[in-house]
Amino acid sequence: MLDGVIFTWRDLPDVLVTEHRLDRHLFTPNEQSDRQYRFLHEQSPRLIPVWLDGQLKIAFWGSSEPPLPRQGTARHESVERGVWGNLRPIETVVPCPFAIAGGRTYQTKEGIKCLIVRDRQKRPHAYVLSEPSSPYYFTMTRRDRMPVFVAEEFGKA
Amino acid sequence: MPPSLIAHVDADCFYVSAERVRSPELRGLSVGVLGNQGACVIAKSYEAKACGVKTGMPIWDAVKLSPNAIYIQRDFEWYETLSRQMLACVREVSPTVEYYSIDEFFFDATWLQSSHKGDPLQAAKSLQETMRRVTGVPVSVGIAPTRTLAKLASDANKPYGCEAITSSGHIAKRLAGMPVEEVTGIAGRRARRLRAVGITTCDQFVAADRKLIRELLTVKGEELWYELQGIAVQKILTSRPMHKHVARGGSLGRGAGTRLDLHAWVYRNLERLVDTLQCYGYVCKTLGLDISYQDHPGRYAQSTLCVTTNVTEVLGPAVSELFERCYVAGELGRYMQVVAGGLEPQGREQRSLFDNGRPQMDAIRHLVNDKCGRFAVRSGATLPLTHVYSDPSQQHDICDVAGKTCF
Repeated sequence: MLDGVIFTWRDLPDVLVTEHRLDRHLFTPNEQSDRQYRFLHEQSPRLIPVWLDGQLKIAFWGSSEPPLPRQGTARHESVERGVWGNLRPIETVVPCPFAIAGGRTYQTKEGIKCLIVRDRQKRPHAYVLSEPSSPYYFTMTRRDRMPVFVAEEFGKA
Repeated sequence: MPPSLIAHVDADCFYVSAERVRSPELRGLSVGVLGNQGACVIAKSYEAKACGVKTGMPIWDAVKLSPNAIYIQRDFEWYETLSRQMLACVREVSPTVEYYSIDEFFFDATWLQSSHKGDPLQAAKSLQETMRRVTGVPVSVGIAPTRTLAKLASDANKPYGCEAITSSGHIAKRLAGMPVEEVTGIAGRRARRLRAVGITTCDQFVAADRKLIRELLTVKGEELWYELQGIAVQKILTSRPMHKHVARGGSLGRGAGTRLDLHAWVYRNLERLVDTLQCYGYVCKTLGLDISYQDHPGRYAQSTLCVTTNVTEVLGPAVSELFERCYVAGELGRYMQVVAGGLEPQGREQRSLFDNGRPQMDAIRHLVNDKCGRFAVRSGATLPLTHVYSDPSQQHDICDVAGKTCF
């Protein structure tokens, strides 16, 4: 559904970069372009920047410990049915300018929606909301689920 | 009397530049703009071009060549906004402007050079800087005695270049060794005809006998021959010549397999056609429908209307009747066009003796849609296409940019 998100170096405050040692996420596409921070779902530890408590924070993307779900995604339909209710999730945003799916990097207008769930140590874990892919998104990425975008884009299934 | 100098302004990788205006983080990155179905690259940045990405290439091939490229959904509404700003900039320096395409303009540059102490190159650079400052879009500018030479000059100096061709010596230098396919109007079959007689470059083309060129490429080729000599024969068109036909349609994405889906596409394209006819002030006498199927020969049907018109009340039933003739049950529709022919300017048409008063459906539709967005009110027949109407990039297409003299 989503392999990763990308932020430009301007998007992330220095304090956040230092605190979470985000240098290992640095990537330079080419000499002329801005440096980027890439947060991939396959990386370990899986991290993702999210808007939380009015500022940008780093959350774990999914979880490696039960009882929280391992995969970093949440089906929008399951949230609607109340399946996530007992985890007391709050909805927020991953304000990434770019995202990666199926090996394609694409632009997002205002980022993607996600749920934040706290573990026993009160640490935030992020679950990107997903919905069935629109025909456009499916053609572009070959993925049958797409993130729920903040702004209306790529159409609906 | 033709202008002594003609300028051609051409935006550099326009769709990508337009995206960079509102998303500066794209600067320096390899970028591809995707077509309406998300499958094809319709424009690319110079960085992507350097990796071998070509316009029209499927995304899965482009990704192999440029794995870190950013792919963006097209947004013709935004591109038109910038295009109109660019047009306004050009109109500031010349009263005689041709809106050639969404990112190209021709204009009479006679006055432009007089404002820069007779130096056309400085004038071109000044315009280039103004357009970048006002719109954020980089352009290349060519100035020459003819349209064809001006376009060659701007094309040859991309990106963000300028050239003023003002003497016969300069013309000869510009044409020397340049492949003849670089000239707009000479491609494919015409180039092959020239190659057969040993003409492969522009300098060979202008050195050839005019009658031979006319024989090979008809009067259109002869026009180019004059233009490349520096003799202007192609005018600047300040308004769009009347269409012979107007058509709306295109690919149906993943295809339309049911009768309802296919009929919905027909009605969507009819509504777009009606909008276009009314925008240009045309009425039509004939209506045609062309549907291509995946595993079945395509079908085309046309009917002559009982009145010359551009209103949905008449064209709707007509297109439904055509649909019955073109529909093949159980086949997947892949492509369609709804075509209006026999065009006349509205107001000059023969009115029906049985006119029942002015139809209201389109007026009401426009009244709401002008305030609430295009397609906010649309035919119920289009309901199966919710996924198309929910996609903002499907609201506005390149052909909805009105007034261009080219496509």
